[in-house]
Amino acid sequence: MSHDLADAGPGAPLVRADGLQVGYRLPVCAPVDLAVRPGEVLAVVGANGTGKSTLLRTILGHLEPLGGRAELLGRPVDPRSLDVRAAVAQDLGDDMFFPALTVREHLLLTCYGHRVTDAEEVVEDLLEEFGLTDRADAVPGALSSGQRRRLLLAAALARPRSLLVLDEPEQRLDVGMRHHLTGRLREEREAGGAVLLASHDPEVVAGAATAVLLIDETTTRTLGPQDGAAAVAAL
Amino acid sequence: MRSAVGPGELLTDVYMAVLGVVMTSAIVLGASARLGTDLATDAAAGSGLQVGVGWLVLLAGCAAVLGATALAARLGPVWLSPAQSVWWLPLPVERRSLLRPAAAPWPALLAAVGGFAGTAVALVVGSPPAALAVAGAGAGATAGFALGLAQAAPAVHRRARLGVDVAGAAVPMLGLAVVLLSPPPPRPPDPVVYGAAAVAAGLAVVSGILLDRRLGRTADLSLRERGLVTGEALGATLSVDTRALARALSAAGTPSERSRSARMTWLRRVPRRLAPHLALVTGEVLVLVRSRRHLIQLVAAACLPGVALAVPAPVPAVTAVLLAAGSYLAALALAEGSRRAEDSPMLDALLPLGARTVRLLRLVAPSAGHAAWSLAVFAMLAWRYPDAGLGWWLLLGVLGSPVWAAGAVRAAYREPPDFSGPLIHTPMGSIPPGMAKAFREGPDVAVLGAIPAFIAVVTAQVSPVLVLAQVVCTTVGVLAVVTSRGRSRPRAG
Repeated sequence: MSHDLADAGPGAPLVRADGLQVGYRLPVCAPVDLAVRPGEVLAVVGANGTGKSTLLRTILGHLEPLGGRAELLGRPVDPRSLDVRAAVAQDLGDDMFFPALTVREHLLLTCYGHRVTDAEEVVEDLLEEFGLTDRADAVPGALSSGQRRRLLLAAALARPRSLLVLDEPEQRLDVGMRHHLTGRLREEREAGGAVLLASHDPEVVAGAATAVLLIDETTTRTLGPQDGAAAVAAL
Repeated sequence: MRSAVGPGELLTDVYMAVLGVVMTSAIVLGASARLGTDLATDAAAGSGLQVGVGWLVLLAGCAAVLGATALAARLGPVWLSPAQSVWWLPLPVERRSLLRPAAAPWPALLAAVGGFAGTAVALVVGSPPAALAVAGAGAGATAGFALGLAQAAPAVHRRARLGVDVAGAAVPMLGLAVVLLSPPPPRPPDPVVYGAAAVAAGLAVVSGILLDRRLGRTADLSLRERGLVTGEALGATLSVDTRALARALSAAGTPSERSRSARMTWLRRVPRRLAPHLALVTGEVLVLVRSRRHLIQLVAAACLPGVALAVPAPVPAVTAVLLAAGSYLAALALAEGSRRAEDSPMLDALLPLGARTVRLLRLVAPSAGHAAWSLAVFAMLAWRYPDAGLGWWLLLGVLGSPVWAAGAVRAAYREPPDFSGPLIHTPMGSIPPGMAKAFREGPDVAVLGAIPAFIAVVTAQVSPVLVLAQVVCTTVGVLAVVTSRGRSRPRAG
């Protein structure tokens, strides 16, 4: 997958937040400062309700911030822009499937829409990788929650991206698939991609992250992957 | 959890509901009786409509019963709520007694609709009201019980749904044929009516007993699925969310698996710069062609102006109103992709397309479909008003299609009604605030944008000026929808 950068410039952060306050009427966590550059994987961790998902959604522009600022690809966040949609792949756990289309058709349309060459081959590989070959002709509504999650991940990985944003991607995945996901995120990092994810899984954090941001109501701390994984395990 | 509603409020709600049903029934039945009287008078005077009013009422009754049956086929007819499914289905007990309360409502409702329709028809055509009421009720109940029996076998249930949909689509076509051919209204002899009533009642009893004996064979999955869909449909109805209701009804008819997926290999051959655009349009088209309900809706929508035009002396205002209603219904059917996207906001961000481009592309499939629909409808206008020439009528129809599509897409993306304000009290009950705005968004653009077409219908003339005016109106309407900001993000404060 191509990891061509947008106007952010080589080495510049693809995601940046300065004193970003997120929440609904009241902040749910302390102001956040973060930056994710190509080749980095930042894992946002914290107890339930500390605002990890809210932070991701605000950074992507789905929620308005309460204060501070956030930038995507070197520019103020605009989720409606072509550049953002072309460069940022996201899986926030929300069902976002083309209605009435089967699993295979959804992936094919995503690949064709993103101008992926050899789209059919890519789709068949993804179906096999995520254990969806037997369900390729089912509509997403007929899948189990774990299968839908795998489909969302496959769709995010099917298309070109500079930045991958994932909200607790390990949810509803079995142990084997979690191992595989960790390996995939490592490959993403090594290929020069950037990943911002929220996670509750120490293994995913330890195995894939280059840095960990621990957030709670009053403070934020930046940790290394091992310390971050230990912090997750202690939550 | 029981509601914290006192007995006084509950009695008031029940009173208002009963009053509404009684008043509506009285109005409809009174109108039917009056129609019957007028029909006899007009027949004696040798004047009035050539179309049998008895036929119209009969067809309307059939449409009502078939519409309710189609709804029953999608939402059940036997269903359990999620809570009931969790508690009851694992119990090691005999199922029939558990499922009887769940199996009764739809046949009872269909019997009521059938009885009401039978009574209305009897009052118009002069048949014995009680007998036709029993015949209608028996037919409705039989349909409900038969659907319940079919539910035990998913393949049979699917075919039953298809059969009901086809029958429902045939009613407007039959109506058009009746209007064109003007056969005398059906008035079977009284013994035949009494016989039909006895047969219908007997069938209802037999099918009801059969269903009761076989209730235990209905699969758990079917009960749960129908329960989920019914819950969504009820919730959408109570919150006056027509989009959610449409999605629930569509989901009810969607098969869980296809025999094979479309390969969409044509997308490999398109210019690379157009690939995302055509991918989005392809998704829209696939949604539409896989939705039988919406294709039937297109046919039914075309019959509305058709009926208005087929009478010997069309009333221009009535024709314009029915043209508007049919056009908007057709546009709504074609904008299913936008409604589904509204439910899943990030779907619009899935492809590398800006927000305005997505909005514009969501107009393509509905506009093209509506243009094809308009060719048929405006050909009927040209047949009725030939002076202007077929070409001008067709051009006017096709040029107006994008604005109807724009109205439907605008309605799909409208903000949900804000029910947080105080209720608006009216003599017929309380209305939540924001409802008027919710129902206005969409038709406003479409109706304003189609004014040149309405002028053409009322004057029975199409001029180059009107065609040019339609181009301008369509352009303005489309731009208004494409450039609108759309749904706002949830606010932080």
